[in-house]
Amino acid sequence: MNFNINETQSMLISSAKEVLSNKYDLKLINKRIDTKSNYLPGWKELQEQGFMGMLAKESIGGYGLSFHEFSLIMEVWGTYLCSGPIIENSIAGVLTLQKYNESKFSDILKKIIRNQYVITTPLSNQFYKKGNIPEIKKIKNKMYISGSLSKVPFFELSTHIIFIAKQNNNPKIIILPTNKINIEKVIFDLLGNKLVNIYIENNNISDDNFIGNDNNTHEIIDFMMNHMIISKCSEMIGASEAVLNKTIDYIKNREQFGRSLASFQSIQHKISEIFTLISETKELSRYLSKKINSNQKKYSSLLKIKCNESLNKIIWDAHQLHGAIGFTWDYGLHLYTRKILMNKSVLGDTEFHSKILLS
Amino acid sequence: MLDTMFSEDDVIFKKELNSLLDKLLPINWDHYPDETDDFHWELSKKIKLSLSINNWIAPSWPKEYGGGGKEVTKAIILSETMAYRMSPGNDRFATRMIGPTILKYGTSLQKKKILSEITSGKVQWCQGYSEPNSGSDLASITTKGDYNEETETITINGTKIWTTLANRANRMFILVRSLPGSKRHQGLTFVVLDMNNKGITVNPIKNIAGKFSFNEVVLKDVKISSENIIGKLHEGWKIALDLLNFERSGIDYIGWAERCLDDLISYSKKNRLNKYEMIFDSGTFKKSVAILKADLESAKIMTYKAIWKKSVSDDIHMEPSMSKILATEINNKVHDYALEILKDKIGFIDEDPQNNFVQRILNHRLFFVSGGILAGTNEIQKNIIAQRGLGLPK
Ligand SMILES: Cc1cc2nc3c(=O)[nH]c(=O)nc-3n(C[C@H](O)[C@H](O)[C@H](O)COP(=O)(O)OP(=O)(O)OC[C@H]3O[C@@H](n4cnc5c(N)ncnc54)[C@H](O)[C@@H]3O)c2cc1C
Repeated sequence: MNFNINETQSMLISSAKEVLSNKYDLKLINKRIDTKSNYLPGWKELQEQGFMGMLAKESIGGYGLSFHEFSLIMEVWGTYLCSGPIIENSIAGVLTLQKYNESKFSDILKKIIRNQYVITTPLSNQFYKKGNIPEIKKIKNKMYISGSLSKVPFFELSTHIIFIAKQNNNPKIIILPTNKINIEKVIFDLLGNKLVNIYIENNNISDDNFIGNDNNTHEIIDFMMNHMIISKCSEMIGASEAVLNKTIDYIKNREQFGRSLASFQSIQHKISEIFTLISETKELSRYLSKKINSNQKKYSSLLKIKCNESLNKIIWDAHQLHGAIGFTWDYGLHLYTRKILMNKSVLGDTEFHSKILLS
Repeated sequence: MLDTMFSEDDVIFKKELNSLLDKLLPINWDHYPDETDDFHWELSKKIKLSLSINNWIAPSWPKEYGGGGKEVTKAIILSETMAYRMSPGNDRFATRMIGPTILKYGTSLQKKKILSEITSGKVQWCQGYSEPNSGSDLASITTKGDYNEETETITINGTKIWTTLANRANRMFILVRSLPGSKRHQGLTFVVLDMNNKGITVNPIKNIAGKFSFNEVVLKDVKISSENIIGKLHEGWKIALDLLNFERSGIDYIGWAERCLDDLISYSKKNRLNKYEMIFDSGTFKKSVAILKADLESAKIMTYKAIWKKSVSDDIHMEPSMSKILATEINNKVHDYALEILKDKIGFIDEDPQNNFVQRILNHRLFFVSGGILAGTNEIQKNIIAQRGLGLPK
């Protein structure tokens, strides 16, 4: 048993903080919601610093970090409200392709690491909603795929998309270039990030587009989902820590009745509750990020439930502690609120994961 | 459910009010009243005038000031119904704050002028209490109100903040420090002023739901005559506090919560939980809604009691504090549960403009963050209950 963060991991966290901290600007995120601009704080910076190769083996030019270390960086990512297909590239892209078809996808892997390729995936929506599964058909020895996919994040930024399809009612995992896919509809999430519904129309595919084989599709889906869920939870935990720090700063500096708000016992109790909730959720997340693999669905479900429920509580309490200032657009507390609210149902809500946990 | 508390006459009043609102509100109106929006503002003015024609703006005020001369139950019904219908045009700063305060502390001239103006439906009031450094600690305000004995005028200098609807209002009640060098509750004066006075600048502030519902109000050498002082010079604190007790009943939150719960039930009857059952048919849904309903009804009865008690007794009591906490909390709980039912639909902006219910619940939940903060935070209400109500030490 060891709850420590080692020296290398601390350095990793510090360097992620260094890269990301001066890039996030609450004003610009506010503006993104208003104007639907394409502001993606942190994304370019992490790319430029070589972070796309975090989970890739050193033999193919990556850093060879563990998933636990990746999840620590995701906490930092969440803290600064960063935006971009980091989970999509690192989990659906690098981690999965490397584990299941390294030789087949070595070229793609190298290009992801060198930022020449960018991966996106609507897996969250497909898996959770159990809808939108494009179909593969064979016509005269050639394979074609057709169907729609909804709520694909960062589509216009991406060169490839990874998704679940079906062939003769068997699930398959497909990777496809995005250039021959049509956008049907554009929508925006609560933080103004663009998502699109797309339609794939008789795109010709070959064996090269299949990830995994007939025997391991379910395992790969679980592998991706488990890792994506824990990554998303780490991001939510990072965002909540930012809320905690913002609140502590505020109550220490704000004076009422001739003393700092932080000196009132009832305020101390409230902030202690927030801190305790975040700490327990974070420890659970960090522990599970060390243990996770493809056959432990229940672990990621447990964590998602914990994040959904606990972090939802802390945002409202943080608003209360801020008084009217937290109710303003410009102060930006609402951006974290939106992030946590929104992520409650991304990659499965509490009800969905309860069924897995208790199955 | 608590309709049995009301007389036959009350029930008729509620029916008539609802049919007036049916006529005035656009069909299927389900927007939270937002008088900063031009359409809502015009609607608000129209509704106020129609209420005025019926003497319904302040149904329980004396007839001589344009009130309805009826029991307090009518005022309860008016606020609750207008909140339930999400109707603009209920100027709570006028009818639930400054109005009752003037009735209690105003001179006969002030009563005639101010109350009659309110019941004419032609004014909008705002409240100038909070300042950048004085929120919960209202007694620390620094906005100066220098009194000149010779000219019998007060000159106001300072900044008020979070002033709801200051950008629409033509009247403001404001607490100022009139005795230079005075501390805390001493030396404060409660005055009313015309927002068209020279020296007033209103700077809108955007809230978390993206609306400009409140403002910063900068007052620079604003001169008003002593006729605008309510009560006595330098003795405004008690009046200012008393006004807060009129403000705090939480009745609107009851109306909003009930509307949200009713709409959620309709939604649950039209939408599926899974292939086999509608949301409404699930035992978990029924149980959760039933618990919320029980909490809502008990909070509601506390808001009624708070308003009733204030109308029959002048003692300081803790009902307004309790009912404010209960009403704002149940409203948030109801909205939280609605968000839970709407699930992933709430993660998007304008996904389906036809489906206003989802956007509405989301925006309302963000907006109702303010329930526990405004009109004295819920923590301050708990202090009042413990210290003033239960007599526990400070
Ligand atoms: C939407 C909205 C509309 C408003 N409209 C108006 C208006 O029209 N006119 C007007 O004058 N004001 C208005 N206000 C301001 C409102 O009255 C203040 O926000 C409120 O009094 C709290 O003050 P504050 O925001 O400065 O918070 P603070 O007083 O700084 O409080 C911050 C936190 O500390 C807690 N706290 C403070 N003191 C104590 C204590 N002694 N013990 C325990 N906890 C404590 C509070 O409960 C809160 O959680 C509005 C506010 C909002 C949010």
